[in-house]
Amino acid sequence: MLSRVAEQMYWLGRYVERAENTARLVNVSTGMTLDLPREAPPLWQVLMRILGIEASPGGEERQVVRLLLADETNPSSVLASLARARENARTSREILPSEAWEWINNAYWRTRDEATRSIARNPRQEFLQRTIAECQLFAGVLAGTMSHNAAYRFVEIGRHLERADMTTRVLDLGAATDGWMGVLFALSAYQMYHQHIGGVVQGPEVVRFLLLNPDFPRTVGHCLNSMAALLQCLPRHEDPLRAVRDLQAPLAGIDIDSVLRAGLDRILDEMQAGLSEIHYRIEACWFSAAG
Amino acid sequence: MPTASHLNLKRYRSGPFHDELIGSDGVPRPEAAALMAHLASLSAEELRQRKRAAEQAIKAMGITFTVYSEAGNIDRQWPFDLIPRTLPAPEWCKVEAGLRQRLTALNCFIHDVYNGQRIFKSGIIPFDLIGRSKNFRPQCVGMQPRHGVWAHICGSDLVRAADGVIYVLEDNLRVPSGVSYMIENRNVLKRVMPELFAGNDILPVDDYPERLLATLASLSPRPLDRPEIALLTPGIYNSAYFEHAFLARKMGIELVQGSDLVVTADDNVCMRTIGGLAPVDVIYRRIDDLFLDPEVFNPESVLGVRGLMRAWRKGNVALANAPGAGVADDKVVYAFVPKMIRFYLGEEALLPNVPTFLCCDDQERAHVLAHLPELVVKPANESGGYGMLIGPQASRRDLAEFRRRIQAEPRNYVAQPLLSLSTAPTLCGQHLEPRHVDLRPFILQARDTSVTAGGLTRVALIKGSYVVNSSQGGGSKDTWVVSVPGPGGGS
Repeated sequence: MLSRVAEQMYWLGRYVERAENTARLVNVSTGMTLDLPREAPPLWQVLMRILGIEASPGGEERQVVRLLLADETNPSSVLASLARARENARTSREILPSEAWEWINNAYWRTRDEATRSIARNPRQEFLQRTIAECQLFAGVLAGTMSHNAAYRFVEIGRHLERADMTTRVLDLGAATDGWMGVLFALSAYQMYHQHIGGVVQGPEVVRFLLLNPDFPRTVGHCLNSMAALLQCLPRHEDPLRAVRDLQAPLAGIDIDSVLRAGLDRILDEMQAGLSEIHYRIEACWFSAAG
Repeated sequence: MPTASHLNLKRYRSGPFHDELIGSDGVPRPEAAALMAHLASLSAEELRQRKRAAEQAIKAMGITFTVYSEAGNIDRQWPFDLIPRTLPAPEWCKVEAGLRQRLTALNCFIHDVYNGQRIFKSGIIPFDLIGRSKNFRPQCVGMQPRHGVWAHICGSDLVRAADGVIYVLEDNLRVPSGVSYMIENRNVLKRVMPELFAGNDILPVDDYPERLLATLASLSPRPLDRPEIALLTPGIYNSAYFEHAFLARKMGIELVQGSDLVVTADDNVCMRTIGGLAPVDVIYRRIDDLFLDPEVFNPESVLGVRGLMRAWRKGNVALANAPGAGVADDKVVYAFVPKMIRFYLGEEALLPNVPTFLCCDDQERAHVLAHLPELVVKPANESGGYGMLIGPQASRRDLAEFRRRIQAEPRNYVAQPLLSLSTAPTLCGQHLEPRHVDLRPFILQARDTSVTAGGLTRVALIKGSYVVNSSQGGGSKDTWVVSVPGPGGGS
């Protein structure tokens, strides 16, 4: 497949996943705001820091939510992510099943129509849930109707990379707020956590689960395993695969208690840097240097 | 019993124009009878719902086109009229034969222009005409493309005048577009009015991509079961990008941009893929000659591929349409097509041309200048309806401007009488009103020739307007070639 198209597929996967994850973060933050004690750190500013966005003056809920949902100039907003996903899909329509294009196109138009109206708390939740559902639907249509070929693998690699990155950021949010229950809700992980771990929700267990559990699809470990498997099906994959292995290795021997003692930030930063490195190796291998 | 809320056909009158669906007595033509009866049974509200459904389907399917001047809004929804345009199958058979004949002769002509120039030496067409043609490419002289065919894909514009005769208005041999809309119009109509198709015998149009693929594959310079074919697009900002993506997807071929291709040191064309460089056998190029190869043509072009002409001239890659084919896509050359048919095929043209005055001929130019307010003046080499003068509707200033232009560059202009284009019933608000239409069938030629069943009907949505181009407020309709049961046959 064409290098240019491979790149578009990869970003399509990333942007759809980013739209979904941003919606998840806003959704769970909205819930957490209601529960937080009054003296807790200002949640919406924490969220901005975690997402790496310069905090706008004040960092009031409405401003932050507008920035994350409806601001087309903020590349991680739901609207901007869907706009870019749609653009990538639109310019590679010959690759995607037409149904998949129709879904992403619909999701974009609906979001564009509703995002600004959905900043207030009342309509917000329904809007976010629909966004999450539409992103999942898109993934489902691809999984069910697209050949699992190189193009599909690039979408999936993009999705898993973005997902792993977001999981590290959600853990960051947990550490900053001590809202571990919220962390599980944000990743739809509450039920599976209980099936795997059981008992009361505790920070160290949540961290262990979301970094290492190989079975739950949003853990860093699972995403890395999936990426490794996907990469191996592509030509000339050695270099990107090595970057994934480099990140899997420290996770394998990790001691969660000592990690927590040293501060969760350190391992999360390490993970985020490693994920960027994987991105750069993929780019160098298939997108820019091809031929 | 139709009520006030139903479409009232009694009031429908197309005046002096030939209407495609309704006879001058107000009675639907046989091929439109079942359609009109069904439409009359729908209430205005039902029709409105269908129209909305069609608009939603078009939005959901992402059927778009681009208007150059709107940089901020690059894809616009495709304007579609719910009421199909009908053609009787026996008439279509004759048109189809005429189109085959025409493209065969045009290909003979292009081949002759670049090999031998018999038709000029015989005095049928003045040499001068080619010497000054903007679309003559000296780089193509002596080339012998497979099957002797240069224009593999042709979109000819047909119009029906008040006399009921179908005329050829022009032949688009460079990069004709619109075929994807022909197919999508059918898909939209099937989605929103499926019941229409049950009671009618309508020829399908969706086999075009397969035929195009077979045509392209037959051009491959290497005998392979599955030659590597790519569609070369200028990219997403091109007005026909939707179509490029549509056709590449339907044919399962790569959609490439100039930057995806590279010509190797041994003059082979390759694509940059995730596995490295991969050879390409056939390129369906949707960019103009002058942008194809900065080495030979426009050195500023970033759309093309450096060395592509070298590869083509060596026979390492096939290009469709071949470079230089546009030499026959010229409104001056057009005037000579009936003579070409006689010269190369020894036949009379089955489809008539519109009478055309050549401004490069002193006598004809004098006639044109004397009758400018009655004529339509067209530049020889523009497409999309740009740069035209419609005499009867033009201001005094426009007339003076064209008088000046014609005298300055006579070779660049032709004039034709203003044809009274036929009409077809079009949904305007709650009523059907006559709107002018044309028809663009698509003809494929390599070893074999095939013609689409019908084509793309374009409609001028503005009352009284003749301008059907989507870039200038035109819309389109599904086009039905209908087999009409003879008397006593069918229901």
